[in-house]
Amino acid sequence: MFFIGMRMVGSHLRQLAGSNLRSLLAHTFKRPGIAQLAGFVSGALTQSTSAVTFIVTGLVSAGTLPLAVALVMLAWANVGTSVLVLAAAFDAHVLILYLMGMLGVAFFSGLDQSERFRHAVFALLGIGLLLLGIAMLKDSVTAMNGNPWVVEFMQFAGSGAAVAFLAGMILAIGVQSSSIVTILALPLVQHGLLSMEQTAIMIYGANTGSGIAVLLLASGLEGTSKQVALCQGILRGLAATVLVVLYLVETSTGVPLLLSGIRWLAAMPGTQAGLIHLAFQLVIVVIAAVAGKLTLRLAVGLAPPSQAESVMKPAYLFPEAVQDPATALSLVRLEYLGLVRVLPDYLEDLRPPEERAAGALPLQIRHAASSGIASAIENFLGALMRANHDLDAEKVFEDRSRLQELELLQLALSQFAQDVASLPDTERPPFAGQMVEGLHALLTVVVEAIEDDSSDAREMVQLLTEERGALIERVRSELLSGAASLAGREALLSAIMRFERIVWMLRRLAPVAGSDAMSLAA
Amino acid sequence: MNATFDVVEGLTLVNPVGRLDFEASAIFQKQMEQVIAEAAGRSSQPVLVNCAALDYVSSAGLRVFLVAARAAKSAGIRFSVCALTASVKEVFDVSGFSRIIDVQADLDSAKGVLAASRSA
Repeated sequence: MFFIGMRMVGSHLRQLAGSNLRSLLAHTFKRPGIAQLAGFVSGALTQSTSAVTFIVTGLVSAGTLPLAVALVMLAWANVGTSVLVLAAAFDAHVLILYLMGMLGVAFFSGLDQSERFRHAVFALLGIGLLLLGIAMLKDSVTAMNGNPWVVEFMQFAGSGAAVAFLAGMILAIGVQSSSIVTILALPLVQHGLLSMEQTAIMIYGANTGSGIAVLLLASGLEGTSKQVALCQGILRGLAATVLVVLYLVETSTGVPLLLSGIRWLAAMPGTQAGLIHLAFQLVIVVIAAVAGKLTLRLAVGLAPPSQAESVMKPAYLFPEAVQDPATALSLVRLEYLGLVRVLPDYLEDLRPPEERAAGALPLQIRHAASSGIASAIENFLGALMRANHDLDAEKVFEDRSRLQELELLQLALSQFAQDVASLPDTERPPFAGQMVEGLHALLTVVVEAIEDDSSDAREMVQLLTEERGALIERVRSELLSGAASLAGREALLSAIMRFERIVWMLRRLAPVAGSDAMSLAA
Repeated sequence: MNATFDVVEGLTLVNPVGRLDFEASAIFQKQMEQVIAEAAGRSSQPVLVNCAALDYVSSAGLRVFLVAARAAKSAGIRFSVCALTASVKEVFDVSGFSRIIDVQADLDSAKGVLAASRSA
């Protein structure tokens, strides 16, 4: 019941916040001091450090959020996750009854069917189930209290600081949440099965474990995406080190430190456990403030930007440029030309090694980088519109439409290259190579025409991209009667269709106004 | 790739032999620039590239033909290619270059067309 409730709370609160959560996070860096609040709220809403870490990872990877701001937000998101732990530490029987009563009314009046309220209703139901789960757990622990093997097990788990720390860590890696481990430990604490010292060290272990869980989830990532997870891991590791040292000093020398402070603040064991969990998160915030730069340097050093990331960032755009529309549009033009210039590179993997351009990226990285930059330009144009209400919208729409056409061309080139690459060497007819070289030459001319922006060059593109129906039809029928396997023929036919489409798209990319096309044959 | 350059029957005849790939393109382009400059100095003598012995042309090679054709047009010189092998013709057709560069079927017909254009 507890786990069902936990999942319902997280998923429905996320749905409730929807794109607003992402938007809230994305806009925080523009307002100093709000980053902390946004981090706290997102932590409280998702109740999952991992969820916030990976939402922030997406924003940092997309270049929407600077890593330094992400670090502050992550630290405060941890504090946000403590809300539920503190709530669970109190006796919630009466609260559950009220909550269930409210939910009954909500379901009876059909609010669970309403698009507007259903996520709020189910999030409340989740909270109710979660609290009910904890209450049942507390009751069953009361019953288990006298059971000799339970007492023996808890004595073993708490027999030494190291065992308690490891137990908390392993449990948190398993459930991917230090809050869950702390909440699950609450009944044991409240019934005296775990002492405050044992609870503290287990909570420290659980928080370390949730950091390890984030790192494990991020193990397949690289570059900036991994840096965010590393920051979370480093912060948790440092906080655990500080708190474990404090714990050892306090328990071995009797000097009153954190545990004494918490005893002074709260008398109830459950509340004490909640406060220990909160203290861990606050230590993370302090470390992020004091050693933030060191943490960032360490994270960047451990996961330097990947090759794809280095080329995925726009070369000219910067957020402040939206304040000056003329500069902004010329920067967009430069960025667009940069994307056009690398169009021939989509074919480099397919060309003979001696023909390949030096420094051309592999297809997959090329396409990811070009798509990333195109998205960044689109976002920039959107921001430009929002920042300048009196802007000539038609000009921006033109740029956006041109960009969208370019994105379609990028996709078609990527698919064409994949089709050709999927053919085994033995099934690749000479025409495939000729098509690649011909298209590469055509792309090169189109790039030059767009860069020159002269009517002569554009007219030449119009001639070069005239319809090739007869040629394509001949090749198609030759291939159909060829000796290639069915899969090979399918890939070839698909490549030819895409080739025709690409030629048509190139014609649209470099349009010319009116006049008759120019022929060099004249 | 090797290329020979002759002045015959009132035109400059270029005979590339072998593969016109990336490596060969840079040299061939310089040679073509020189040929066109010299042809311009000979009362805008036409330039004909006989591709009968050209086995392969890459994207970079195609670009050489395009640049030469544009330079010839600027200099007021007639520029043609002829006798393309099947694979080279395919690349010309696929790229669309055969729409903007004058392509003749064989050497004799090219000479005939160029002679007729001079006398016209």
